[in-house]
Amino acid sequence: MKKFLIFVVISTFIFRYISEKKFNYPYYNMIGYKMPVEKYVLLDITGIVFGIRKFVSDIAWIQLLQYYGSSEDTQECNEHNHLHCEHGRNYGGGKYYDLLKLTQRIIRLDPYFIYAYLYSSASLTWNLNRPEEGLSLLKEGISNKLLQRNPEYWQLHLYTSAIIYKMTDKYYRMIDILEKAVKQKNCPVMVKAILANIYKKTNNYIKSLNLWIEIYESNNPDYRNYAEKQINLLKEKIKLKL
Amino acid sequence: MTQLKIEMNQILLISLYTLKENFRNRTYLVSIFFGVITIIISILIDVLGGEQPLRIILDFGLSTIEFFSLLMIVFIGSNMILEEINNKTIYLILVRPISRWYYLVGKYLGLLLSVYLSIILMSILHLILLFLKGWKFDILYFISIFFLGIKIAIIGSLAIFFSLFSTSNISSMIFTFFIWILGHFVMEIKFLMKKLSLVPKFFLTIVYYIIPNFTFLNWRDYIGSANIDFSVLYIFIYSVSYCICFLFLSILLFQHKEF
Repeated sequence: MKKFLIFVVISTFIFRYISEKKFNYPYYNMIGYKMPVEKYVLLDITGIVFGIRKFVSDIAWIQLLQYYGSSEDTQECNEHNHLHCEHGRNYGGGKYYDLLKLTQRIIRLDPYFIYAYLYSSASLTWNLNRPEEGLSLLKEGISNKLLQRNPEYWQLHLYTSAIIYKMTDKYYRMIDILEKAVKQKNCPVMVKAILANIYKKTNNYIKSLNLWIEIYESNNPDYRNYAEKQINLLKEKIKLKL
Repeated sequence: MTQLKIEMNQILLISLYTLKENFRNRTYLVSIFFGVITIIISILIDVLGGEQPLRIILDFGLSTIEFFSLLMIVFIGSNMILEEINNKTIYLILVRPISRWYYLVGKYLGLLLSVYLSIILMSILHLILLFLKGWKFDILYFISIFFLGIKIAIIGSLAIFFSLFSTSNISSMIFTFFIWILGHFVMEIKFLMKKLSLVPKFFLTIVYYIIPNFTFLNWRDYIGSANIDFSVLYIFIYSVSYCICFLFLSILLFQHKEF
């Protein structure tokens, strides 16, 4: 019996060693990897310790949506002359200085959460007009070797080129790239709204209308009412033009 | 051959008896109840996830299944034998011509069977919710449930070992939870080892190889990573031999135990 026990112990160690050699841990080590939002460090570490980092990254994602979806504390609106202005809320206008850090928190917990890169980089670039921050987020994803085998990895490059075109004022090239982006399955509705607004600005009402119809039909509760308003507005503009 | 059949039959009978016993266990039933409720609640939470409802339901559900199966295995596994010793019901079995190790293996298998049944129940419910929300079939889901089962088997063997080793159910539960945490923290321990001097490194290396490596089995966190290229077979053999190892140590302790 003891011989059998010795045999089992030895084989356990041998297979542990072999498994370790074969095992490609798909995350970066958290020690020495600074978490960007200090007040959530304890929660993040708990998630890692209990082996639920994806679940914690989902919580971080919900926290980001709540932060970005609510009005900023003392946001003064000169245009409408009152505090807590909700103007532009539907398409995420405002300052939201913590958006970058909150997204970095998500992608450090789960670097494979491609949607978070796309959503936040687009928000930072086109809604909050901080393309440098959007670009830094995408760069973090692109430089992550673990992410390179992900089938959606190429979209990070796509968004990067769109942001670079925006920064260099190559507007029509940026539109070409965004047109490719909105055709993707996991494209955030917000990016579609951004492109529809760009079309509207460039007087391309029919393309804008088509996109708003697509957004309306996606049944996203955050955009449905706003899309309806835009559809009616664009229909009138097209009639006037005709 | 007939002798082996009789022996296997004895183990099977003890397993089925343990299974029936667990069906009457309040901790077991309450854990299943709360597990099912929590999975259903994930439908409400998915609304908060914006355009990622499926991801929220998937991660939340899988974490819930793991959490409640962990609760079951730790609470029941740590109490199972100690309770029988304290109630003296163990004498009723051990006075019969049954070897002590049959009893222990039967108990362990019965415990695993009852936790696996609850995992299957919660997974079916979770899958129904996922399919209702338009989830597309992913084999990694089933692989992560399979490896969760292996994780549970390892924790079960450790819970029984600690319950025989420590004689107090609370301390054995604490030890088992501690191993659960350390098992998920091994990659960080490995990273720390590189930064230490020779003597502490040596001791930490021993600890590192004794504690189970749950990062091998944490496939729930690897869904969508596309980086899984390690050999499943080696991990499976390692996990099974780890279970056998601690079950054997438990048998050794149990055989030398005086009642």
